[in-house]
Amino acid sequence: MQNIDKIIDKWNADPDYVIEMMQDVQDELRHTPREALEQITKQTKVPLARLYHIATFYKSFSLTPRGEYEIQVCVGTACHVKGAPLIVDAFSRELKIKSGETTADGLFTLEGVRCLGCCSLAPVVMIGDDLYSNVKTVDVPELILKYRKEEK
Amino acid sequence: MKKLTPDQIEIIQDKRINELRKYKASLMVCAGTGCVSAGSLTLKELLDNKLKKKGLQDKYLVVPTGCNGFCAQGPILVIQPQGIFYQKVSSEDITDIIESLENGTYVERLLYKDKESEISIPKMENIKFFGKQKLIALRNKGIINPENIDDSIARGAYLSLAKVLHQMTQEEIIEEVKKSELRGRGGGGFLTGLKWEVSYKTGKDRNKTPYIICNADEGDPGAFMDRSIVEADPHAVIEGMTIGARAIGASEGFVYIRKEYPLALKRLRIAIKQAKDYGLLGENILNSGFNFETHIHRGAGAFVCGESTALIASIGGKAGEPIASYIYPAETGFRNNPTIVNNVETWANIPVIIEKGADWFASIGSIEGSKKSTGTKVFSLVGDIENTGLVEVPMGITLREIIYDIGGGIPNGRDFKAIQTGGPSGGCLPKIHLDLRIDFDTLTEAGSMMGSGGLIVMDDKTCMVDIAKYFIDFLKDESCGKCTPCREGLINLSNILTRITKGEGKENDIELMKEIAETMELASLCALGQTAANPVLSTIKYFRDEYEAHIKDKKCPAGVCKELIKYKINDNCTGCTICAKNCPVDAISGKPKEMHFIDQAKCIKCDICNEVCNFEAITVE
Amino acid sequence: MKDIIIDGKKISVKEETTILDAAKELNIEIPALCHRPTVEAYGACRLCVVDVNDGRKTRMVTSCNYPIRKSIEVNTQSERVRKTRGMLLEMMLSRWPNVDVIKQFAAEYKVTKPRFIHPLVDYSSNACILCGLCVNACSEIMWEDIIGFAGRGESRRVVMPFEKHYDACVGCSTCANICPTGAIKMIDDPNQPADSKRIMKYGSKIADEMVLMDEEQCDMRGVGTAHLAQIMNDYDLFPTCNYKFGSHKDAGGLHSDVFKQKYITQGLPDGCWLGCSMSCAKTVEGYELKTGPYKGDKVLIDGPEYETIAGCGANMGIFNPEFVLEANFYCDTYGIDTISFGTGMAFAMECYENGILNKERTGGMEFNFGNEEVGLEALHQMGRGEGFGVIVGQGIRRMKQIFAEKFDLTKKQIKFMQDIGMEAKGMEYSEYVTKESLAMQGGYGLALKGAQHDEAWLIFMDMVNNQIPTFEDKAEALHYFPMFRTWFGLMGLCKLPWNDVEPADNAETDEPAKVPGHVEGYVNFFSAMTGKEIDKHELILQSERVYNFQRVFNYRLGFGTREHDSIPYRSAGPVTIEEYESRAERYDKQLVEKWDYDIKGKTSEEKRDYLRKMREADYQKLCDAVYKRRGWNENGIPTIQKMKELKMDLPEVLAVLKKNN
Repeated sequence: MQNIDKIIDKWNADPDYVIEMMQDVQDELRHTPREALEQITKQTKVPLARLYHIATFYKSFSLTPRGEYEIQVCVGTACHVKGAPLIVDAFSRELKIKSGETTADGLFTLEGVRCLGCCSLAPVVMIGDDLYSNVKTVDVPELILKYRKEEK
Repeated sequence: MKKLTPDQIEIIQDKRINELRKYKASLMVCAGTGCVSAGSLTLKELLDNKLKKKGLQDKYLVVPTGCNGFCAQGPILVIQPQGIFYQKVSSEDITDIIESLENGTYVERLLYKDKESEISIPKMENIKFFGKQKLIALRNKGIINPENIDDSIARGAYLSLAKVLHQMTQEEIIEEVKKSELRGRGGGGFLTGLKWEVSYKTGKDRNKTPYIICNADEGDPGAFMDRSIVEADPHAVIEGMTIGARAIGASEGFVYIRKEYPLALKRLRIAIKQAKDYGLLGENILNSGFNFETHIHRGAGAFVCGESTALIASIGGKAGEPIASYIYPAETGFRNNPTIVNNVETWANIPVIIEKGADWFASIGSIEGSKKSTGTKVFSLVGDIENTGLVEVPMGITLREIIYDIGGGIPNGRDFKAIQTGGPSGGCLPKIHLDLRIDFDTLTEAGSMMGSGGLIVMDDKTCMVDIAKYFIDFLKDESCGKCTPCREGLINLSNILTRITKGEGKENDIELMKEIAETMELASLCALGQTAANPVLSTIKYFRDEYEAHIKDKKCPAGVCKELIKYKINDNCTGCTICAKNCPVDAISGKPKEMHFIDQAKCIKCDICNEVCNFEAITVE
Repeated sequence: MKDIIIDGKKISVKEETTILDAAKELNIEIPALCHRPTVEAYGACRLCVVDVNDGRKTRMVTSCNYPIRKSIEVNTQSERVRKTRGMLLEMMLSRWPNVDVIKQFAAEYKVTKPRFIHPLVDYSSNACILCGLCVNACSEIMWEDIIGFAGRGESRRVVMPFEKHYDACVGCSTCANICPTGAIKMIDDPNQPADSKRIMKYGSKIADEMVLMDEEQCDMRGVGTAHLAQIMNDYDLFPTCNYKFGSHKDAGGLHSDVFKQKYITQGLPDGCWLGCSMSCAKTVEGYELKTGPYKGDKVLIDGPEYETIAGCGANMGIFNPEFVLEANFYCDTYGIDTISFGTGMAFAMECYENGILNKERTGGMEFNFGNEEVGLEALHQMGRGEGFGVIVGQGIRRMKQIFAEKFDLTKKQIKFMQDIGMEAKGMEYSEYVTKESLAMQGGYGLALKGAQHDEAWLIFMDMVNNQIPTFEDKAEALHYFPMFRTWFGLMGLCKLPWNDVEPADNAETDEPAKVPGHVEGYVNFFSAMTGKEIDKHELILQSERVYNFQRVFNYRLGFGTREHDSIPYRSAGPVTIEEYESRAERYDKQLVEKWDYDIKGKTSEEKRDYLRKMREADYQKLCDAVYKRRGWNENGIPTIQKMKELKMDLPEVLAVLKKNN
């Protein structure tokens, strides 16, 4: 857990910045495991119950590891109006997981996310750091294939 | 780096202006999130390379800018000072663009074409989308490099800060903001100057140091005003905050910005560092003895953190739960000290008010009558509309002007049905309200609200019950769950709406929802809960017949609610087989060149057949 | 004050009073699920909504946390208020249809059958209704955050971290106690009491008092026993320069405010027993040591308690809080008692200032009052086992012997040492000046273990409130209180929650000094713990048996008679002229009023000597009265008769008593 110590140090173990620390942990480990939170509690004296509340309150955090690629389907209003729910269904169908779940091989996590702020390009999907605009339901299988191939 | 004095700002300004004048033209490549996703950064690099190759790098300057606003047309390139607007530019266009620059002409195929007249319009100012706009908060959008502080200074940044630090007292600053009648752009519409005054006085009376917070946790789905402002002109926000800090006597400030906005976050960090290096932030700012530091907190994904007490809790390292509504952050906020929370757009307006004066600002906008909405408002115009993007218009403009003059109307020849304003807790306004003036009070009276500025246009293919359900589900997911009416009210509203969209609605459901809504409005702890039922109330008010169609006739007139619709193949079918090939559940059968059929038992209503059909042969009913 | 109207009734209340509290005064009941006086208003259930008109408009607010700041008119029963509460209850009832407290409230609002089906319906009658009382009680009453909320919106729930049992929970039961639905249960109580519900009932009473009253009473939760320094100084009871005086102009330097604001780390549970709602033990974190083997280290210091502040401060003529902290740390580290150290050093310092000691005898140290450097050096010597510190470290009784044997002292000097050496039965006095309270002199002198105040602390009863004027009264107090306090030792209980926080109505009881409400609690505690019903007399009897046995034990070892109950005169009156003259007015007055002594033309020396004669005689009379009350003979030995009454006539006990009677 040396990395966790480094993260805590980066924020000077300041109790006001536990959410920042947890975001760094989430980025680093793709989840916020109990050991990491316990370490933060030890050094910042912020009670574990409060960290657990934070970890389950904010959308950024996940208690189990997220997939290597996070598929974020924007479900903001503009995207909703332009068919985002159908896109989520399509990914769900292709990956055989529900929104919020991770595929068994740990490759993909599917999530409907709050507005990504690209409403002009609706509907949009973000896979990893790549943004796809004007996505159609029919494009979905191909998109997944692209990342599966990359992995191989 | 040497810390600046006020005179030195002007020296930097002159120097940068002269530097820029040496170039024959500047190529403004939009580097907002939308255009970046469409490849504008690669475009910028290729332009630079090409110019260098041709030895033209001292003649033409390529500038990566913040969001231009006309996002649907990205990547966007604007040639300044000529004002030539190119849209959907790709790498293949580079040679032609440079050639035309040298020849003093323009590339015809990249110009915007007016939809009605089909005439190409070379100059940005002549495009309707930009025509009725008035830029205050977005004064620098698309014309500066947001990662270069000298560009901002060349456009006058930090001169207002110098002015308040050396020529105005704290009371005078507050008085000026009060006189401008600027109202909070985050949605509440509270008079900014008044809020400042409360914090200033409370701080003085109780001998407590106030704090400044910039709310950039833009959470409304369908809104990206704040993101665009930070991406395009971060120094406007920093300068505004520093002026506010000076006014109320704060020495520390925070920007609470969504983690999902990586580009805005990056530019803000760069801007803070550059401002610090110049001595525009930190200790002894501009040699005035005034100190101010800003820190960034990344919002971790909770819509309720837009509520100031929840935001303050979050900055203090806690879950974002609002506290008793009788505690006013302006008096008792962060660490129990007076705290001013204003959103990005509000802060961005401040330097201009100081520069041009309160009277100038107060002369713009919806200024008749006792309830005024002065100045401009930035809106994100999205949904079923021709020109989607970011616009800044004077308050008091009508919905019709925005939708038809700026937005270019509804695409695909469809009809306007409703416009949703005010974010998830706002309301949907129908056709009869198209001539409504957009200001804080008029929108509230009509059953919606200003909110932070998302405008979502919906055409006649939109189901209003589905929309209400969408917003209620969004809010149910985002409610912190602390107080009973908001938590339980949303669960129950969602449950009832789900039933209705499944065709299981009951006779008295509408009245029951209205009762729940009333309790939520009266008894909820914070503004989120108090306004959460608005989407239901406004859709019931204006689209009651649609609810009744779902409840009584078990039909979704717009063809959206899955349980109530059927996909069928009509006579237009040519038997091309494309639908059958793409159907994920093999529900479509038929021989090639013969009409196809959908097996209703198998159909999952995924809409793929509709999407792929080239002959409009799929009917949804 | 603000005049407001609630449901047509007028009332005048202090600004910032909540509507709920104001209504309570008018006997107007407002329903509330998530509110208790012991936790801060949370405003989550919203049942307590009322209509408020401030002259401009009417709006609905929650009465539990709405502070009255202007003259408002409140309607707690308007139609829309009733309708709103009804809808809230309907929604709650649809989710938790079998929870009694919700069913009751709902019935009051004529809600019996909700009109909708809740997707998360929970049919348990002990369902958690998310009121937050347990979470807030854990945090605010216990200063712990063992349980908390998790999730948000519809997935909001009350859990321990990671939804598993959390080891940090000590099972204090505060949450289970405050829960209105019984959703939290104690599943494993290692003490296995006969009736845990009865214990919880009295335990939570104390916990509530602690939260509601402590801050204005003793502020034990805020500063601990340190709060006493100021009070003792105000009443001239703060031992200064070896008990010569009871107050000092610089004593403000040692007030609890100084420690609270500058040193004590607040907001953390630092009770000596996890789960204690008083948590009076305080800590100072990150203190940088200036001397000794850990010089320069930043350390955590447990304390300081009042006794340490007085002993390692004022009594040595030192008023620097950092000296107190440094001495506190090193006493703890070396395993030295801060009271014995402080009182012993004070004695040595007075000896030094009176020529009994000198630089040669102390190994070069100038043992003047107020010498901080010497104070710490002597402590480090004790720790290292070298130098003059070793002699001081052996205590006052041995110092008196050693000084008399080793140094060439006059008889007068030896007698002076007896007068000012503040020990009894070989134990150093704890830190109270007892000169003006005869009963307290007895409290120290007659205590079995030596001069400690934990058998009886009677100064206020005796000197300040004059509640025990006669010898018999004092003897009664010196019977009851030592027995009562001994009981805490028998049970392994802390004494502080008995009278360092008191019930709100304690002053109105017959015997406030005994805190009858708490005595009742202890009686119930014993009965519920053991399953054996006792009353308050049996409680005293339990102690008497042990106490008398201990006295016989002392006697067997040669310590249990009148001569061993004697006290140094410094604890009964002014030894020196300086002392007499510093409080001359008080002593003169007593000589005249109490003993009809004609002070005209008398020197201070004559007056001091007469006062001494009288006070010493009084002390012996007090011993007579106490022995009688305790059932002892005139030499202070328990009678065989008494031991029989107590059923403590064990053969070994009788053997000792018979042999010597």
